[in-house]
Amino acid sequence: MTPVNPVDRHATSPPLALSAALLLWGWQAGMLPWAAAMAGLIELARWLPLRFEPGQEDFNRLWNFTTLLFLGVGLYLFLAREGPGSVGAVVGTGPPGDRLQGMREISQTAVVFLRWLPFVLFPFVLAHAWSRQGMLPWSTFSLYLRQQEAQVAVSPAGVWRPARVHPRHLYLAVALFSASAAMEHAAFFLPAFVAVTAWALWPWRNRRFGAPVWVGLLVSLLVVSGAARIGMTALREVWQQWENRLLQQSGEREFDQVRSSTAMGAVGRLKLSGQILMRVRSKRERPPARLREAAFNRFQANTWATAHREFQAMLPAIESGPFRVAADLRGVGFTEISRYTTQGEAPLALPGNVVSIGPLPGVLVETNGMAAARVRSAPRLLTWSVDYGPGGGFGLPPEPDDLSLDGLTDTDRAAIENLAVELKLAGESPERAVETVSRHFMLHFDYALWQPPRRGSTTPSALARFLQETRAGHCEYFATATVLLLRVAGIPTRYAVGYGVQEQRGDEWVVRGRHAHAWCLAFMRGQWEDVDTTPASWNEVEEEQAGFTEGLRDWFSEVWYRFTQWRQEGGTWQLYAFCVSMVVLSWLGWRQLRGSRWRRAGHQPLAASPPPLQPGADSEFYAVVAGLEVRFGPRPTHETLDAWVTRLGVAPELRPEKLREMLRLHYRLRFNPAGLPPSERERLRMLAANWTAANP
Amino acid sequence: MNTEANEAAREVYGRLRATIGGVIRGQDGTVRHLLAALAAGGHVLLEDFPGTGKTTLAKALARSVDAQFTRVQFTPDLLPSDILGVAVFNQKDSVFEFHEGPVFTNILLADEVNRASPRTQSALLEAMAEGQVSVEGSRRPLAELFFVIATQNPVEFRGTYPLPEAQMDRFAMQLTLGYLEAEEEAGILEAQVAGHPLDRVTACTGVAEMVGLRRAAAGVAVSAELRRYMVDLVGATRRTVGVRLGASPRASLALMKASQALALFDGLDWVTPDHVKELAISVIAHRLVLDPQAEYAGRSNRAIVEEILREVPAPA
Repeated sequence: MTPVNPVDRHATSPPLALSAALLLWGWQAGMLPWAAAMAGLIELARWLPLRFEPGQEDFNRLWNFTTLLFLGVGLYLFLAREGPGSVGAVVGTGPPGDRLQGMREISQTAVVFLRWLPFVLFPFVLAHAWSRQGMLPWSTFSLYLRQQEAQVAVSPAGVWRPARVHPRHLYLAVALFSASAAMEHAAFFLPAFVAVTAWALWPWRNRRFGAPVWVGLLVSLLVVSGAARIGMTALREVWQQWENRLLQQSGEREFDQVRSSTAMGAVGRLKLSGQILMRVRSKRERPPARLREAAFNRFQANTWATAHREFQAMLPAIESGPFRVAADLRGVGFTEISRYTTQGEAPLALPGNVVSIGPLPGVLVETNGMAAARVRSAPRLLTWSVDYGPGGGFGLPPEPDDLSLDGLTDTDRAAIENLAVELKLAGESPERAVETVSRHFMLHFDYALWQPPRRGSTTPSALARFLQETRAGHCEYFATATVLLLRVAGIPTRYAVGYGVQEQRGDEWVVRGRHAHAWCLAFMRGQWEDVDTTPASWNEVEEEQAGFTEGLRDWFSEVWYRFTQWRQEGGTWQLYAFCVSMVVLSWLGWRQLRGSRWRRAGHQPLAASPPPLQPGADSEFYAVVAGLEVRFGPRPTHETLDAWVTRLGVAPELRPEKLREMLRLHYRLRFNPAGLPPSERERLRMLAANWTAANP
Repeated sequence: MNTEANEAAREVYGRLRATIGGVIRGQDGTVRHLLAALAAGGHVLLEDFPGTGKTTLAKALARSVDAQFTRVQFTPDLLPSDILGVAVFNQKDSVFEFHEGPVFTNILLADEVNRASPRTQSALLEAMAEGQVSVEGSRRPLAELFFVIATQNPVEFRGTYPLPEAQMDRFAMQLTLGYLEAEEEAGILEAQVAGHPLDRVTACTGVAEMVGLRRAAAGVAVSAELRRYMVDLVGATRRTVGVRLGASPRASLALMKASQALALFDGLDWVTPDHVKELAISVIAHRLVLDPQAEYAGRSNRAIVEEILREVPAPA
């Protein structure tokens, strides 16, 4: 039976269209030599007669293999480009900056994958190009459709006419798609893209309209596409600006250890997130109540800063040993703190009286001496241990800035000095002064996250307004006022920021965004001591801010924390995962390919060919049919041979009477279960041979 | 293969066709299919507009065969017993005597079958499917040659009861005659100037020959591939969008038997795909029940079978 499918003849793409698409892709993806080689291999099939004869099952297997290759490449890219970390950053509870970065990483990985896609599909397309197969059923590319096909095939009345597609067309679309995946294109990419697309689609155009109409349409399309591209570029710029603004406004700002803008002066409700930032574990005793991230001593325009901007590396006494903060001291408390780093960097939150920081191999620890330490080159999840006890802490002695009121506005200075006079702080001992200030704030001030609007206010200064009018504010107000009041009393003070440790969950303590705190450091008894004058009610006020989704967020946070911990402890788990996956995928791929029987076409001995499945399938009349198809076009599959020959009304030179006789013999051979007597078969053979010889 | 019996059967077919063709002009294809249904042991539903010759065709066939012919005019008040028969009490002998109804015949013309109530229509079900009737607890076989030709008018709806699907399925074929070309219609007028040709029809064959024709048709070979082709065609109706009820396996059987008869008429001992395609619409279309949407969209049963014939590859 002739294998020619009537649709197949019109199903091939125009010459060189696929090669052009491949070259366009290679040019855009920076893989031009590869693309040229691939195009050459495919085009070579047009010129060489060598062909293979794979069956549908072989193509199914090859596609299965291609799917595995697809998965393997995807997995490789995912692991090689830190895919798990990026996905974790997006779905986890990290800062928004990390999420955006994660999304960017994922999209870049997807773009790289798209650019590699023509490589992945190439073996299948190449095999198809060197086979005699034309269009393939869609079921080749879908296990689901194959199952459907199998079910219909076993049903008693199965008629399955699957839609078919030429793989070359699909591949052309993939190549063009991959070509457009590059982020930046040369100016003439768009014309080239439209030209290749138009070339590929040209045979399918509606012939009702002439070529000039189509060319005009394509030019219009090109113009519109160019305009759209300009618009897209502008849109991308707007998006990037928006993204930058989002990063700037995001909840956890990049912490600055030399400068801290306070929220003093802002009106409305101060809202901080319930996101878990740190986890603190302490085996025996309660962990320190406050963890300090930085300390400042210059105040100006509601901003605290420090002159000690230089950070210097801390070196452990012995290699891979602990970092000693206070030499010759032994800590009485021990705690462990974990937090996520951003691109390897994070401030170290430490108790005020830290004695030593546990070993952090491979991590660079720096300090500016002002009770601020930070890490660089740290893993994503950093855990550090801290020894702390009396006498500990960063020992930078008091300096003139610690007593200065220089940066204050006149209003603030007047408010502070008036209050100091009112409290009779002058000449008081440090302990007495601290006690007086604490008692004053405790008795006459409230903790509030709400600042009323300034209507009716007599002073433009937030600090003065806090001290004289509202008498309510959050920790930054109390800490700032305390620092300045004690300075008036002649006590060196600093402004410290960090977190309160106040929420216990199971056997660990969690530190949330809303636990951020500020307090005063006063130099008393020869060392820096914490002075926290914020009313103790701040804990409860902050806890009231917990949203109803906090439990769910905590659960995700916990899961992600455990996963990150497991990953970091697992060492090169990606390598192991990749190796195992590759072995599994290779095994599956081998299983798919081992059953294939690719034979060269036209070189099999006759005896080896399988017996015809249907009686008369080897009829000589099919050669005549093939000859007629060459002359008159393919026979529609639904049309019987008799109806077709009648419809053709063949010319006398084609000897219709002989055709009729052959058709009668062929019908008898095909449809009479008794078959055709040998003599009549011989006659059919002879008639067909004569006819084909006379009508080459 | 009994060649002589086949030759005899073909001769009977030729005579019948000539006789009927003398009465019904321009309907060779319909007559061929009608005779194929008769030879295949099936029954025929003639559906067409009034005056197109449905009853004439039925009567022409009845008169062509020297067999018992009964005509029943279906009306809304017709009862099942009016068709099947009734047991009447004989006071003299004090026994119930069964009086056979018109169904006990060789050729039954059920004229305007859709005017009777569904109950009466259903009385024909057993007779058509099994060649017997069950009346008052006893089964009574019908004649070996039992052929029903029913007619109905597609345009009238008032006072009619559309045949139920089960009843439609009992008909091997639904045939239509259609209006003729002007020249052919003029020929009919000419032929009837001196009287109706039907009056001149005499029987050209008998019951025994008709039974022989049926046996010969049943002996025609059908290849496995063609059997599968028939099943594919019928099966496709069950998966076609817009068809609520596809054709049953009875349709496949009817298609095979009618194809055998057609092959016999053509002088072949085996069926070809062309026979199958020729009969597919007559055998399958009337059994389909379309979705209302499909009907409103203007699709017809016939068009759906034509679509299927264009979809399913024919053995070549």
